[in-house]
Amino acid sequence: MNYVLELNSLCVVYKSNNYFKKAIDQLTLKIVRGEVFGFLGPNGAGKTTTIKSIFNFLPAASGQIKIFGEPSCNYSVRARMGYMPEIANYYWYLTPRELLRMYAGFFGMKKHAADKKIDYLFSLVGMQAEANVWMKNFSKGMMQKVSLAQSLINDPDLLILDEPTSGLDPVARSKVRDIIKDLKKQGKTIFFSSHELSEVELVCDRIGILNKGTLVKTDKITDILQQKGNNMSLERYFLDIITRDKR
Amino acid sequence: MKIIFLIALNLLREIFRKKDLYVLIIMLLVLMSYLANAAFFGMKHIYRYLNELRLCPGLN
Repeated sequence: MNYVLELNSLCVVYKSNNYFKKAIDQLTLKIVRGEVFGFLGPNGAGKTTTIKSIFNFLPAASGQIKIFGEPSCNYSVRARMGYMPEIANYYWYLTPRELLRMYAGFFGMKKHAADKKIDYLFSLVGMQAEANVWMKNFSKGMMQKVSLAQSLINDPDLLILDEPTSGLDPVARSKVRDIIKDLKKQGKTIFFSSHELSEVELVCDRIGILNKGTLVKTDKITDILQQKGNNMSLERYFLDIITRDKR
Repeated sequence: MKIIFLIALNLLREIFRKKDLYVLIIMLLVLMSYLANAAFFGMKHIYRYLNELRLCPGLN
């Protein structure tokens, strides 16, 4: 089977002075095309570290990362990926339109095509009115929207979202959900980390639970919800696994 | 190269809009005008620069 994202025995180690900490330990994960995968775990479990490692922002101590069957360091592979970071630190004195034009330029898009795409993305995330305002005074939610638009600028086949709904109001949250569902219909693969279990329950096909750097469980959402005579919620399932994992 | 140009363009845009650069330029101008008016070793005006460049060694 051709996997879109393949992590094989991935290990990431943080070191400072003489202190070594294994942030990710032997993580093996395979994600197929068109799948929406929810990456869950408590704070400090290693979700963001894994994502950073996928993009080579953090070097892997050992293991293998393959995207579309190729090594993750390959530029042609990266051009097919979109990334929405957890904390979006963009240029405060630029407008969202200027920022997106810059990102469009990174992907070699022509000005006219880029402007058309940018207008579409702003209408998608509901930011037409703020498109030409400096980002200096934007709230966290608005920055998240800019960040989401940025991650979609190159029409990625694999979209990696790090806590996409944090800081968003309920309307924007439902919009993000709709965007994810639309992207899934288009055959895009989405990998996202989140603490919002209700969101995950609504949009994901499969989840993986990471605890203390180790993947403790992967399961299909439908299978989880069918457990214990339809009495199981994702929150209960998640808490069961985390409290049972006494490493 | 194009990526570097794009980042540089936006950085310059940000710097100008932040107005930090104006403060730097104004402070530099004030400092330079103050130093230009100072008379080191009794030399004034253009002589001190010419002397420094060794273009008119007989001046001192």
